[in-house]
Amino acid sequence: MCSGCETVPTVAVDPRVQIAPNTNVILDRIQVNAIGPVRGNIRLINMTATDLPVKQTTTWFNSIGQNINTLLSRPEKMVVPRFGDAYVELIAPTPDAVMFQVRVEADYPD
Amino acid sequence: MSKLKYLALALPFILGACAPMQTTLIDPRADRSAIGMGLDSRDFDQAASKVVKDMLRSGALDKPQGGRYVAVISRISNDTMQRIDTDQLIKNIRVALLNSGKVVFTTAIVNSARGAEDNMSMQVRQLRASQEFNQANVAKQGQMIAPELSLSGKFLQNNNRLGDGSQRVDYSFQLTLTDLRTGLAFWEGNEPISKLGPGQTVAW
Repeated sequence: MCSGCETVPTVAVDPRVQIAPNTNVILDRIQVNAIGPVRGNIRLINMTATDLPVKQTTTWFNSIGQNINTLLSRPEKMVVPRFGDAYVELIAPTPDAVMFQVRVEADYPD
Repeated sequence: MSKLKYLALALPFILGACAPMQTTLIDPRADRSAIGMGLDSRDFDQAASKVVKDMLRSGALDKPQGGRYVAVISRISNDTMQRIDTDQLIKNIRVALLNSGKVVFTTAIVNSARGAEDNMSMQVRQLRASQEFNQANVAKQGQMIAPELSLSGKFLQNNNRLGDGSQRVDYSFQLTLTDLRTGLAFWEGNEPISKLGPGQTVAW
């Protein structure tokens, strides 16, 4: 191992979850049921010593990839507490909602 | 005369310097505008979204024999210091529940002094006596469907001055889903929204 090199922790990339680079939260795991309407959750963890306010937006799609306009796709503010975790809850808003994409971004003032 | 001329020339620049902020369209998905101590559409959306998720997760809307429940909106009271049209929150919930495929709402029931949400359901029944209308399309007796569930609720607000001079405002959206056959509450939800701000801010 070269001197001065450091190991960068790698996080498994899941195309269903986008975490903005400045967010400082880490995607820990995604749990989704395999049968029936999509239900599950996404666990975000905060390894820093600061509470991190974030905003998550879950976009839902039908089986042919069309966006479903739903209340459950409105941005939701949440705080990932320092050295703690927070969950994004996934509940299919309509019977034809089969795919989702979650975007997590920092909720700091610009 | 020349002074007036200069003033006339300078006036547009003077007015331009203190021009009001330009109006922009807000996309709710990228809304970065500042928040206040009062309630705005973002608070309603977030509260409604959480309430709907909670209701769907609870299984209270899963009809044992399949199909959809028929529901009605009952009294939703506003006990906050703000003038809130409770329909703003309730409509979001109704649309989301209807889209979930688990509930359909009736608009034909009289539940307030305003009467039924849609009086037309009753009014078209007066056409039964009219010979001007083809009776094939006129609603027959016994076709309306009575609700099985009722959604009622209350909005609350609590203001508190904190030791450091700041102000904390706690809002609470309390909703109850009652089985109208038995009178039992199938589901109850309480969604708090708490805000912390400067003590000088007025929260109504």
